[in-house]
Order: sequence, then C-alpha cells, then structure tokens
Amino acid sequence: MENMPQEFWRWKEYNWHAPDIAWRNAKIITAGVDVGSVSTQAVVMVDGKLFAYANRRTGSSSPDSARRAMDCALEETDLALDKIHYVVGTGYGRVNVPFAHKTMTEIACHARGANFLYGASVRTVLDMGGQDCKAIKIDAQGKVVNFLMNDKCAAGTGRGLEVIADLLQVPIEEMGELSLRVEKEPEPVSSTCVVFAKSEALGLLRKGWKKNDVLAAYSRAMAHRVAALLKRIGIEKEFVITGGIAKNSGIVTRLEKELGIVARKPDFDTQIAGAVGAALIAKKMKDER
Amino acid sequence: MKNKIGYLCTYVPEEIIHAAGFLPVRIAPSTTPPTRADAHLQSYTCCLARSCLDQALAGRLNDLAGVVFAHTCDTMQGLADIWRESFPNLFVETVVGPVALNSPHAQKYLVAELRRFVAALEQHFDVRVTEDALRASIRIYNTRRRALADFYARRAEFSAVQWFNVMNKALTTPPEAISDRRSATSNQQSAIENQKSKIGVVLVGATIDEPTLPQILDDLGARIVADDFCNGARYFDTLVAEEGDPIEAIAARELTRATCPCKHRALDDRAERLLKLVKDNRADGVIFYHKKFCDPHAWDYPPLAAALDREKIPHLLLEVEQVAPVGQTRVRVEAFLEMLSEG
Repeated sequence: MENMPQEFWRWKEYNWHAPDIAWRNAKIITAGVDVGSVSTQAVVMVDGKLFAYANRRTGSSSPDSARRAMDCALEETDLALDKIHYVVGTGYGRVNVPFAHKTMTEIACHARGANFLYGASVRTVLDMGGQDCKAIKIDAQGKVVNFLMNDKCAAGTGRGLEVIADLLQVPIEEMGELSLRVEKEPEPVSSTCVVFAKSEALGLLRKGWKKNDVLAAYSRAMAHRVAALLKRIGIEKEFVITGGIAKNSGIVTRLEKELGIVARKPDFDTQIAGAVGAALIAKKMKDER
Repeated sequence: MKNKIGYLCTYVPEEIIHAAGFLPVRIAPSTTPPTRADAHLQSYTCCLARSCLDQALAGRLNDLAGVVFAHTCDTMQGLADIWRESFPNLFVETVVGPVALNSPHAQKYLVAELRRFVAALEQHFDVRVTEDALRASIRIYNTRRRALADFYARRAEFSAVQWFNVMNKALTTPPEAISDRRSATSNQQSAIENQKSKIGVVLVGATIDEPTLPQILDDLGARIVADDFCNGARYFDTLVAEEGDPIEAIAARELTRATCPCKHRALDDRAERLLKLVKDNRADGVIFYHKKFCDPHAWDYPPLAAALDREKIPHLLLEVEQVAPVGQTRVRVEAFLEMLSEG
C-alpha cells in the first residue's frame, strides 16, 4: 500500500465563537448559511454582532453541507439551532438549506457582508469564490447598485486554484506567497481555462520552469482575467475582496498592480462575508416582520 | 408537393411566400445539442445558426420546399451559402435588403429586390404570385399582427412562459390560425396571479428560443412588461398598407418597422425605442438576453447600456448559448431583481 497522498488543495476547516457574548439576553439571534460550490459557511449573529461561525467544505448534498456547517458553528457554544429566530440561506445551494426561512443571492449577501466587515466606505466588492467570481458595486448601506459575473467556468476561481495546487503539489494556503518569490515576473499562461491552464502549466514544468514561476504565471493570468471584470463595471474606492481567493496574496498583489488600486486588507476570514451578509439580512427581515 | 418554406429571420417577407402558395414557417433553434453542424461552422458561430443547420443536416427539416434567408449578419450570409451547398436541390434564396433604411434609395432598391425574389419563387416552383394573392396575404398577416398586438396589450394577464409559448407558436402556425387575441392565446389559461408581482422588466435580444429565462422570471415573481425580440414585439410591429402596390407596401413596412441591430435608421434609433419601451410600460429594469457570438447585438450593447445609464435605468446582460444554464442564469436574474426591489 502506498501512503495516502497529501491533499494539497485542502484548506483549513474550522469554527470560531465569541466567548463574551451572552446570547440568553439577546433580543434577536439570526444566522446566515452560505452554501457555495466549494465551501459552506454558517454564521450566527446575536443582536447584529458576530457570535459564532464555521467554514467547511461543501459536500455532494447541499442540505447536509448546510447542517454540518451550522452544527460546527454551534459546536462549542451552548446555543441550539432552535433558539435562532431567523435564518437566511445564500450561495449556490441557497434553496436547499433545510432550516432557512428565506433565501437571498450571494451577490446581495456579499455586498451586505462587505459593508459590515470592512465598513460603510466600501463601494466595490470583488467576491472571488469557488466556482465563480463577481464584481459588485454597492452603496453606503451595503445595497447592490450593479454587478457582473464571470462566465460559466472555473477560470479565475477557487476550484481552479485547487486544481493547480494539486498539480504542482503546493499546499493551497502557501500558493500566494510562493508565487511572489520569483526573480522576474513571468508572462501569464495564455489560458485561464482550468483544463487548458493545467496542461500549459505541465508544459512549463517539463520545460524546466520552477514551481514558483509556474504559480506566478498562473496567478497573473487569473488576476488579469478578474481585472477585466472589474474594469468593465468600473472600480470606485474603497475596493475590497471577499471569498476564499482574497487570502491568496499572489493573486491579490497582482490584481492590485494591474488595477492600480490597493484593496483594503481584512482582519477577518474573507470567506465568511456572504454568510455574514445573510445573517444581517435575516436580522433586517425579522425586524421588519 | 411540400407546402412549407422555412425562414430564419423576420426580414424575410412572409406575405410573398404565402402568396406563392406556401406556408412560411420560422426555423428555430432546438434544445438538442448539435452534432452535425460543427463540421461546417467555426466555434464562434451563434447557436441559432448552428442548431438550425444541424436540424437540416439531421433531416428534420425535410418537409420544407425551400429556405429563405435575409441578409442581416455575416453569419446568416455564410449560413445561406453552406445551406445552398449542403442541399443543392433545395430552393435556397437570400433576400438582400438595404442596411441604411434612411437612405433615399432604400425603398426603390428594396422593391427591386423583392420583385427579384418574387420572380425567383415563380420560376423555381412554376407558380404565379398575383397582386390579388399578395393583397389577400397582406390582409391575413396584418390580422395576425393585430391579434398579437392585442395579446400584448393584455399581457399582464399572462405569465412569462405563456408569453413565450404564444409567440413561439405564432411563428410556426398558419397565419389564419391566429386572427384575434383568443386564438393567439388558445390553450393558455390566463395566470391572473401573475398580476400581483411587482417588478417589471423589458427583455432585449435577437430571439428567445427556449423558456429557461421566462420560467425563472415566473418563479421569482417578475413580469415581462415589454420586449424587443425578433420573435417578440419586433415581429408584429407596423402593419403593411393594404392599398396601393403590394410590393411597394411590403417594402415600406420593412423600412419603418422596429429595427434590429443589423439595420440602421438613425444613430439613436434603437436606444430611443428602448427608453420609450421602459417609460411607456413603467419597467423597473432591462435584461439584455444575448446569444453568445451574436456580434450585431454585442456591438449595439454599449450605446444602449449607456442610454439606460444616463436615465438611471438598471440593466443586466445575460449571454446564453443554446439553452441558458438554470443555476447561473437564476443567480444573475435573482440578484438583479433583488437590486431592483431594494432600490
């Protein structure tokens, strides 16, 4: 038997909770569940404050993924699901969150989430998710003013990164830093189609390119593709990035360079922005009822 | 004898084909993935050309006595040639109408071209296209246009999918079958509950050939309050004058009806029409429904989008191939409707 291969694409699944919030005294407890194509987040908010969350990999069943993420978020708290007043489902699997009262698209939720997490001065949000990528313009209330989505493929998305992580045998969370450690910035790979880029990257490896350089070439192509989406919608300050790829410094740095604008740096997990937005929208919906 | 003649574009004069004794039927893309047409077409050809050719190559259009093209975009022009070569015994004609509809020579030129088309029909099928027959066909088609306009005036009573079904049936059935609103909407129970939905959108594009988008709009409680589709409102826009020389009258209608991006009447013609559709129907937003690789619509999009931006009318661009992907389309449309209802 060979050893189990290392899963380079695998990113950390975890949960978090605020130790100092007493939910029993709360007026309103809401939750947002963002079932994406690659990852699922559950966020619980107590009177509009972050109380607990979890970030898990999406499985083959949306309802199970939603339940797993919510269980994980509540795991180390003494709060039970039935104490949560209102739940909004979002993301690709939003209609399949069994305990959600309402659904909202991830576009509206990332807009609202970015407004909460980064502040009211945010006007342009780039959500780089597992299987698509969205450029969203928002107002001071976190409402969507306009948005654009990429084509229906995995180019410039988290799933694409996972494939390249596997191919190059580089842990996904280290890809960004490694891609920046190059002597000279290489030309981008010519295709961001995951399948073609994969074979192009293989070709570069065979030519004797170092992994870092191949990563740099791929990251640059991805940044270029995403930049085109942002240029089409027009970037206004402040500019922020949400979703999993915001954690990849190699892509963020190249994107900033191409756009000539610096993205605000987060002090939280950018992957939870959609679920945070959903939980906030849940609060608003409950307040209005 | 086969009694149907197919066409792909509504600039093909149905009245002339009808007066020659044939039933003009629109050849529409199917939802079946093409297998045979790929050998003839580049990958950057639109799904309309690809699917229609594929159906012909698969023998599914064998009941047609001929196919008539209108010169609109480069793809249609090339497709006509491929069709001609693929089916050497079939009657394949291209009506080359004017592009500059505002040219002082447009009417005279189009009349000459339509007369050439009449002669080609007469010669190939050994028939006579009489003035009386043309006048009778004009009246029949005008009746159908009025019936569809009447249906549009009451479209709030119908769902988006019903609208889609009515229009797609209209272009494939004998014109006599649709003489008033009731016959246009037969088999369609009016969906009164649709009236309660609040958000109204205008759809813009070349053609809409499968009901994914109407179904999504119905599911999300939005209404199509107006459209600018070739197989929608553009189809029945403007009647043909029933007096005077019939060919002159058919030509005059082609020059005055709502234009598609392959024609030019004035620089802001389409933008003005779109703004009017939005205002007259109190629409909340516009959805552009483009076929991938349809360059006439893609070239027209920036000025139309800019005109809407100037008036602060929100809009969404959907780019679809043969069948719109449900999940991807739904998230875009749903987010757009959320944006409109928040605003």
